[in-house]
Amino acid sequence: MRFDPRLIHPDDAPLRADGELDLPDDLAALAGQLADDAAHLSARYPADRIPQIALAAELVDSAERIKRRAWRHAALAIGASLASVAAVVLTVSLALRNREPIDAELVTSPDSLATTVPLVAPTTVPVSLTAPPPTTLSLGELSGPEMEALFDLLQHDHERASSIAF
Amino acid sequence: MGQLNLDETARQHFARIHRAALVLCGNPWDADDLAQETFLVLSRQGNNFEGRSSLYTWLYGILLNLDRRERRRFGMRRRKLRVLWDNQLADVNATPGADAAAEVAEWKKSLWARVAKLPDGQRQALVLRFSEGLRYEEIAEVLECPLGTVKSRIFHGLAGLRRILVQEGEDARQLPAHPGEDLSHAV
Repeated sequence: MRFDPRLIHPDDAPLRADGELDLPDDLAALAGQLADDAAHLSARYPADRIPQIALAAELVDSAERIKRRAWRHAALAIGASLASVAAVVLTVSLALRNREPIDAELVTSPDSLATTVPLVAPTTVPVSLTAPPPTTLSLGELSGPEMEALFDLLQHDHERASSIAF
Repeated sequence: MGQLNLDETARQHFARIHRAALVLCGNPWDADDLAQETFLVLSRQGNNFEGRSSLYTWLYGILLNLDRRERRRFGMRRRKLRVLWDNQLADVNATPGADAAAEVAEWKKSLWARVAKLPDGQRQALVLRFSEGLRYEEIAEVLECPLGTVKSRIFHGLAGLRRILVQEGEDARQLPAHPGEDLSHAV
């Protein structure tokens, strides 16, 4: 059987020989009514005045320029604040990075602990080096409560070498 | 095209653009806004006009685009309201307007209020043909579609309009004359 394709255009409007739409009477009447209604409406409500488009366009342009400028300023401010935050973050992270190796060595390697102790030693060790010279007290001159306080001090202060002689 | 004299162009074409806007949106205030916005777009994009078509067909193109955008916005607003209140609002595609105003009532009595219920392509073709009296070739230029499509849209637009009127007639017959009226005394 021979294939015989036929193109079907169901949406095609009916046309006259001269290419004009071939409207049935009721549709032609509707078309006429539409034209009448449009004429009536535009006669009742015509454009009041011709607006000064050039002026309006200039006003709109200047308003948009102001808006654009405001956006640009806002973008600059946001950019500057972001940059300052980034700078702070960078500074802090660099500072932390400089501290981290010392802490790591302190924790991980006992050998390094030995080498690093002297670095911190001057702040802690001199306590004993700069300790005041030993003082001698005669217990006989002290009253009972004073003596009790002295014993408390001796008990709490372990770092000092103390002795009682009779 | 050289530098466009906006005020002169407005003097020449504002009335016809306003008339098309009026039948499209249904009230003089929105028509004013729409027509003015059309010319503002012209002021911004006037340099793009290459003069291959008439200036007024180009203006109609701008107007129809603005109208389509406005209707889409309005449709979205209606849908949002419907979601908010979960209430069936009548006919999302209907053209907006201040319902109480006499001007709107007059438009609503006209056939153009029914045209507003048609799909965009048919509605625009009917406006350009029967309100603005453009030739088929000019409409094809404005709507950027083939000549056959323009004729088809006009034919089917009119057929759709007839269906809407028939439907309205049937609805009117089914409604009681005065729904709230107590007729027991007349029996």
